[in-house]
Amino acid sequence: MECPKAVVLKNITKKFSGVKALDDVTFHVEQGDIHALVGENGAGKSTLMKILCGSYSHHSVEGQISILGNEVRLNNPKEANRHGVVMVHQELALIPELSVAENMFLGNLPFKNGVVDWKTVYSKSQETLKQLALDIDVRMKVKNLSVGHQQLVEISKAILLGGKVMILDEPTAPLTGREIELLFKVIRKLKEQGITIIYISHRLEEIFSLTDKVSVMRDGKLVITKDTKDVDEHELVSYMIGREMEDFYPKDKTLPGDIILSAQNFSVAHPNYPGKKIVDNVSMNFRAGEIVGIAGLLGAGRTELMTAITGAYPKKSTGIVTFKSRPVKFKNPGQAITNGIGFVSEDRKGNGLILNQTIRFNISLASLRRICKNRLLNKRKEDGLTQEMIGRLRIKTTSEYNPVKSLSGGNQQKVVFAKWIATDPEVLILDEPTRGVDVGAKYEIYSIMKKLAQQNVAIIMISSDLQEIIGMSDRVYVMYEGKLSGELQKEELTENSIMKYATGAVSMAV
Amino acid sequence: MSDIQLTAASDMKQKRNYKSEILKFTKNNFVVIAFIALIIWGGFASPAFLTLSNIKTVLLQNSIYAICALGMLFIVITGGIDLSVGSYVVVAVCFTAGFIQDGRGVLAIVIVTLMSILFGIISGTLIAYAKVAPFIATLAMTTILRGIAYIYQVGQNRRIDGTFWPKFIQGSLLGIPIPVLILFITYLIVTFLLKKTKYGRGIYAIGGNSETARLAGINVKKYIIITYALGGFLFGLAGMILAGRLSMGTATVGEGYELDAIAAVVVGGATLSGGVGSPIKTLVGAFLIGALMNIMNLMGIASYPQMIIKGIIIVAAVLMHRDSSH
Repeated sequence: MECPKAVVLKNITKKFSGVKALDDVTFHVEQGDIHALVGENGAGKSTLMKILCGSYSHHSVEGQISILGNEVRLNNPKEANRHGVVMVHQELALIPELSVAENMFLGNLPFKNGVVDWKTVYSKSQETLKQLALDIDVRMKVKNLSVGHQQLVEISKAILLGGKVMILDEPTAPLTGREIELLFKVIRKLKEQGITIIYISHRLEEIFSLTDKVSVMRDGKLVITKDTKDVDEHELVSYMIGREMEDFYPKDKTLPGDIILSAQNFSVAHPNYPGKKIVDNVSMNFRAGEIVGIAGLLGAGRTELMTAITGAYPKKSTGIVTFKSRPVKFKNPGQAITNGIGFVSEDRKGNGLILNQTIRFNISLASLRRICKNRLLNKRKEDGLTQEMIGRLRIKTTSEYNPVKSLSGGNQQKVVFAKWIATDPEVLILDEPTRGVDVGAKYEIYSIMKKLAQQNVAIIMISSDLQEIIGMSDRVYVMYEGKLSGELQKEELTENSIMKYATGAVSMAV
Repeated sequence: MSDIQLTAASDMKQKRNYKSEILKFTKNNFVVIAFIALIIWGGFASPAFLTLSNIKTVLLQNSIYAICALGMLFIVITGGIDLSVGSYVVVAVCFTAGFIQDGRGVLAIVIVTLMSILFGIISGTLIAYAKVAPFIATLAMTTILRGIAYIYQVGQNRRIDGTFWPKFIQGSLLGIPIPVLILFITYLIVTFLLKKTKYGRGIYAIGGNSETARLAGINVKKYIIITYALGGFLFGLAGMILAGRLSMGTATVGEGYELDAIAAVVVGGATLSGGVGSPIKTLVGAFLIGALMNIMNLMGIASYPQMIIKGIIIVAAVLMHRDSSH
């Protein structure tokens, strides 16, 4: 008996303002399979899945979609639900103040004689949970459940919606070990009941222990689909990265000096999940005049480590931070700045710039102490500082009094850099320094980084762009799940070696 | 030929630039232009308007409001709001008169000043540390302060006729009424604080994006507390002047001062989301509303229609200021 494929996506192309996010992708999923979808950040996994669950109108997507043998045109997620496709999102979409049963029926409450039929709500939701062998009280408020259980409620809700194809987007990211086991048990149960699962994950070990097939995406294309048992980790990683390095990075030499900043056995408590650590027993050293890359996947704890060290987001932390051989504990960003540590945050618009103010205002913002005398602004000093920065970073503008929002993304990022370089830092931490920046400005930013390193500034660069990490770093620390999973010297840097540590395929013997 | 075309094109571009420059200037200085237009119109509408004595009256009447507006300006720049202006005024009026009647002399002024600053510090602490929304924190202060004033001011109004304070406030220097002089000095100090100090730069940054400001090393909490303390000081100052003008303490004043202060700040081009605001335009905003009321009084327009017109003016000013690019 020929049974139709659960999902067939044929020749899918999707453009965002002219740029191809997906390029002629063809993707098949057999019924009853657990099918892994992997790839680097930005490879196109989420876009592809959003198309499958109807997040974009079919007018904006080229190609054909069939679900369980029926060709469909999807306009919204509700239509996708009707065809049996349900997405379980990474961020849970449950309402904490409502009960488990109410959440499971949210938007689909059954009515009898014009009032809600609570009997059905409770009995059906209980029944669904029982199917998955879950012991959860359906009258309990969702906020009293653990994150793991909340996720299982979300999955149960998807079954109740009639889900035949379920997309799980990084479901284990917020979970602890035991919760992950329970989730896997439930997923296998779903498979027994003939439900098809598309499983997006960064964690290779999960893919090997759970899935039947695996597809790899890269740069908006589907690279390969294979039976999971026929590939090994090494092969999978090389499919995920496999592209040539461009010769794009300034070749200037840097000369690392003495250790200026170091963290020993540093841990940071997870802000949302008590008992979990978002940074776990990490030790790192940073030298003056050295560019150190911090690699890892989203959520590996890189930003949290750096913001905790600089006091930008002081959280409960343990361990010792030494700066110039003195133990330090910065309680707020001001203390870090006075000591000579700058932090270029990742979110330029959210917390890097004051958009309604002038370029000048933004450049001098972190150096007010330097341009003030007795707490009074010194116009001459401020003029000097802004002129110097605009010149040094080649910020393209007709006047320093232009609003910063009138600049291009690349020039805005240069203003953020200018703000921090103006503080005359000895350590400069950069979080995704070239995100959303065009190629030309990227190169200029790389040159600025090299120049700073030559002036003996210690540069710490958090980046998810592997080419950038390899091209710029003298040394790289790789983090995985909050832990330091590897340290690589310049000559050891390949996308392959980094990804191995970043996905937890190998980890450093500590 | 192509050269000629190019020149023509750049001419066109320049013309368009001038046009947009003029438009931008008009938008940025709308309050000032509107104010000048109102003065000219007022001169025609009522011959009594541009007489020296009337101008003096308008200045005198509106000094108290304008001082409150300047206090509100600090707070609005941080993205906050203070609803308790009227209550500060009432407390200051009652305690100033009360302390003077009790024979404390100049000490009365010192104590009331310190009290006002203290109340501001309380509001600011609630907002900065306890993370209470400014609207709620200052709403609570509104009733607390008014309650304090009522408890203190039992029974009769406290007359302080003939004492040093009413004599001083009702006097003038070089022909300028003292309250107007105080307003002028206040304006200079406010401008200095906002434009020339680290504090002023800091609160513009906080209102623009408090997270960016914090990460740039600005002590956001401290600045917020200073801001509400400064506001409290100016609202208290307004109350002390009022006590002097009335020559008595009474708990029946101060109603609606917060709304007039907010109106002046907003008409002056500040936005309640913070980060924007200028002292001179706030001053013009306050006097624009004041002068309009005065003209309507002179023209014999009754007070209820006046309220309607005032409301329309506020909305019109806000719409004019709105950035058309959004």
